[in-house]
Amino acid sequence: MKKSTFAKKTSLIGLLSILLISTCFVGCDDDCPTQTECPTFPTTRSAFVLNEGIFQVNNSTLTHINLDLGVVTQNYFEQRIKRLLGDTGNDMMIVGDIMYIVVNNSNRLEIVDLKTWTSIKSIEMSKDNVGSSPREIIEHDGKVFVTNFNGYVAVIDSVNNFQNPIDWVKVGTQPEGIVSLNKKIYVANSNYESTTFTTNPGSISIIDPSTLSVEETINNVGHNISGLTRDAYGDLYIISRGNYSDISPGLVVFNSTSKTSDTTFDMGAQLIRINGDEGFISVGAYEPPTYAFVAKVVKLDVKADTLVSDELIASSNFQTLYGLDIEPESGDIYCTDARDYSVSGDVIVFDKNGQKKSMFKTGINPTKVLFFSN
Amino acid sequence: MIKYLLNGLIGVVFLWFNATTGFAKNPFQNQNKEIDSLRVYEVEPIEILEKKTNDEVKSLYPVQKFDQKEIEELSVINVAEAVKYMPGVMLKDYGGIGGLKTISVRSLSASHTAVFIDGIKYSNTQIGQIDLGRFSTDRISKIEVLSSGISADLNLPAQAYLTTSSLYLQTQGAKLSGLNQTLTVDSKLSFGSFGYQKIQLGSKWKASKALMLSLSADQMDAHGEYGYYFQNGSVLENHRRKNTDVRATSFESDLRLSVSDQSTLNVKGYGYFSERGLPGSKIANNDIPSQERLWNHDAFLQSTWMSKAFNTLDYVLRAKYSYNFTRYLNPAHYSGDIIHNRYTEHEGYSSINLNYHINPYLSLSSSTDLAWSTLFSERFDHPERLSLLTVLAVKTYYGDVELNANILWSNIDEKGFSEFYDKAIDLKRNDVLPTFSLGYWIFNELHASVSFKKSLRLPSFNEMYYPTFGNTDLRPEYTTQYNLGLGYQNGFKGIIESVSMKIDVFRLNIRDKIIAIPRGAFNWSVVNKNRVETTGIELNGEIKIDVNRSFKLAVSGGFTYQEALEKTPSTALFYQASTYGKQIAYTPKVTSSMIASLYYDELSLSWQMAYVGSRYISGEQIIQNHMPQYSTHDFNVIYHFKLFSIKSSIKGELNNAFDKRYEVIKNYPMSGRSFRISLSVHS
Repeated sequence: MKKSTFAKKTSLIGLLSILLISTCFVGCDDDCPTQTECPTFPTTRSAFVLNEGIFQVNNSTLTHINLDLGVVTQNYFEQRIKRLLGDTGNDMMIVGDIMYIVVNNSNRLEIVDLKTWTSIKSIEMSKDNVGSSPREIIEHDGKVFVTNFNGYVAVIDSVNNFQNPIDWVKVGTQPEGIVSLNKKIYVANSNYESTTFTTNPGSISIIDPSTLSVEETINNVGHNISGLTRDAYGDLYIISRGNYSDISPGLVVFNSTSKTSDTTFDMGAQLIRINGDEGFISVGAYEPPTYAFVAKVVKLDVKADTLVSDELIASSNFQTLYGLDIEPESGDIYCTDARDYSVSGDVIVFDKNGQKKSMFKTGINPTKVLFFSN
Repeated sequence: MIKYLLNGLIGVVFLWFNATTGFAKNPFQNQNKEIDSLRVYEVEPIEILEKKTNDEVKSLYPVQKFDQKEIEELSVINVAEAVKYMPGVMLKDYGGIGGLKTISVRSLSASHTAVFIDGIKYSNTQIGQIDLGRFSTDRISKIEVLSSGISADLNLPAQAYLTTSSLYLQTQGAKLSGLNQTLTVDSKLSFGSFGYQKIQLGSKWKASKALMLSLSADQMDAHGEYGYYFQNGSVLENHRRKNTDVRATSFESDLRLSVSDQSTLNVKGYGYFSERGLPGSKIANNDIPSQERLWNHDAFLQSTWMSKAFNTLDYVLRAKYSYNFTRYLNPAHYSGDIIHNRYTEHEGYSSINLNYHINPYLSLSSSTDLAWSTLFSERFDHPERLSLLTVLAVKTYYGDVELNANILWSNIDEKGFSEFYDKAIDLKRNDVLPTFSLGYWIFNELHASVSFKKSLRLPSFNEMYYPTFGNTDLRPEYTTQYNLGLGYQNGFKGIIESVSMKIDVFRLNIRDKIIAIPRGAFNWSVVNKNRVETTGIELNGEIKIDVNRSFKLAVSGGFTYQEALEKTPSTALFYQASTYGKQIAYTPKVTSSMIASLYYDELSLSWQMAYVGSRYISGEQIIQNHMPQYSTHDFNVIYHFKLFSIKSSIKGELNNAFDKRYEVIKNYPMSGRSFRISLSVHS
């Protein structure tokens, strides 16, 4: 069994190196400086970085990092699937061997088999022939739930090879964050782009995944709420972005059983990632007149809901801290830096104590990092 | 030789000489020495219509122009397409007949180029830039690009001194071309690819010796669709541009009243009404067509009074009112809402320009402009801008040296509402901006000039106040430019009729450049950030050959090399480490153009080539950001004939003859080969 896997791997590596060399001949143009390196096969541990790119430029990409060899491959999706990832990739997830990428402005859900690196399906995210503007994705009980700026959660059944039509569940205005907790789906309706967003705070919709209907809507849990995360103790962590004016951003801890917000951290929380009992929050603010973004990472004890460190990683490590993800096994903290939002960014890796370990180049506006082993 | 000849020639003969041979020294320098040895005759001014003097060559400030005949010989339908043949000008074309077309002069953004119609600025305070695709070339008698915004003319409005560069459009107005005609009627019919059809009707009437009137109207329709290729990774996809239809109607009416030989009143009324689809950019893996639509209703009424109070004092009064209405509709917005926005902008403008000619060597001038603009929209809280611009200018000649110096006081008073600070704001911006230039005739055919100008561009209402995007802390974007010019022109008696050449070396420094940055995935704002330093050279040349009376040839060419480098200091926030010292986005280092025309009796044949070098869509020079160079070739043939004794012409065009597939703006594909035919009659 072990031997056969090895044989399969070596042949694949052989095949890939031929592919690699030919790609180099085709792709490496003397006239044009290039940053693309040639593909390498993920031997054991991989990190995938989703880069949003720039809106309307079709340069959302996937960066592959071979964590064992430290080798970085840019434009990984294009190299493997042979077409562009598209415009503004917003979210991705890996369930088993399947990777899902939500490409917002292309209105696509890309579903890829990570074992063979073939496209299982590319689903057009549109309702009544209008693009739904998909944002974030989760999986629950064999179903995929995608929030869409059109005010719906799209539900896609993974059975039958994703061939079934999409179910649309009407939620609030501009839903963003989505999380499953205690067999319910929680959706953050940001009310982000509406002209009333300065006054209307948005809400949370709770979907029953068995009936695919909204069973409850909770108001007054923050303003322009975007990110949602859960811990193992039934708490929901809500990023409240404020209104870029008089209402400042914060982090709201919402108890799903009592349906009340127990604690509020009055800080410019941008993102929260939870790994076991440890919560990591990127905290920063855009300050006028320059709108420079100064951000750091703080650490939270999610069991007690208290701050462990108010500066685990200092802001001096970043130009523009953009994304934050935790490698679940080692607890390493992967921070993405979007630089000036128009050039290639970086992933900066810190250990769980905030010590800088390594750094990798990415595409433009790296937003999310996921890990995969095979 | 020419110098000696000139000494004895005044008035008509001088005018004629200047017009035919091209280039002459300034009239004043030698006139004074000789004036008592010759008798001076007062003669009526005459106009030479056919022969062209190449003023570009001996200008104190960089000037490029096309006259009416040159415009007619180009394969273009709007001003934007015409100016791309001028060195230093890069056309930013979003593709298609209805696609937005703006220009970048010497690597600057479109907002730095002010558009003047018959000497009065055509402004859009909300957006800060003008879609040049809307200005048809049919009624234009002259297009000038002034890379420094001004010429050495003293009768410019103060607004010209504020802007970094200008595009001057001279319309045909009410003036009749023939001397003995009292009523003319003209019409033009055009058909072409993309469902393009246009009908145009015009009439001019000489009511009396003093009063001339004109009226014209045109209607244009096109579906605008075309096929294009899209490189999606390894796959070359075939698509078609959709939602590209345009329909536009425009009216123009002019009145010209010559009160005396010394005083003229020109009044112009203009209306433009259009509806178009906005196809948007090509989004990879997304075949859902756009349904966005845009309506524009633009109108203005302007007048210019030019008069001579004394022999030494003349003045120009200008006034304008303009109305711009924009309506945007997106019935299929992803939010599920129908997005429907309306914007109405009003502008009032008046200007006084006084020119005092102390003696033939020295002239003083002042211009004061007062402009007011405001915007009404559900998206804005009624911003208002009042600008008072005053310029003092001096122009002097001494021997072979010509000097022009100006100083501009700019006082901007602006009222608006800051969403961020949640309060009304009242801004006052005061700036003093000098301009200076020096010209020198090295010898009669060779002219050198050096100029310096400080200018600014104000943030638009969108940049200041648009909800969630605007930033009321914005400062103006400042530019400093230096230009060194060397021009040569000579006329000959042989087969070669004339040769002219111009070299300009320029340097442009921009500070506080206004750029958009995101503060969240969909939430962008604008800040003052970058510094850019541009150094470049422009070459321009023209040769005219007369083989015989009926066979003529003219070839002109332009070439630009420019390095526009991002130089934001490392102390500034958002320091772009990876783009420092790199060429800025969408700015090719090399552009060039060529126009060759062949005339045989009533037939003319023209070939136009435009080349745009490789460039990057961002300061980061990686392969994904690279856009390859391209060149387009347009051909046309014009035949002039008499149709029942009516002057007529037929023009056939073959555009992008070699079917070059390219993009100017990333993901806005341009059309391939296309055709157009037009018939004009003129009685």
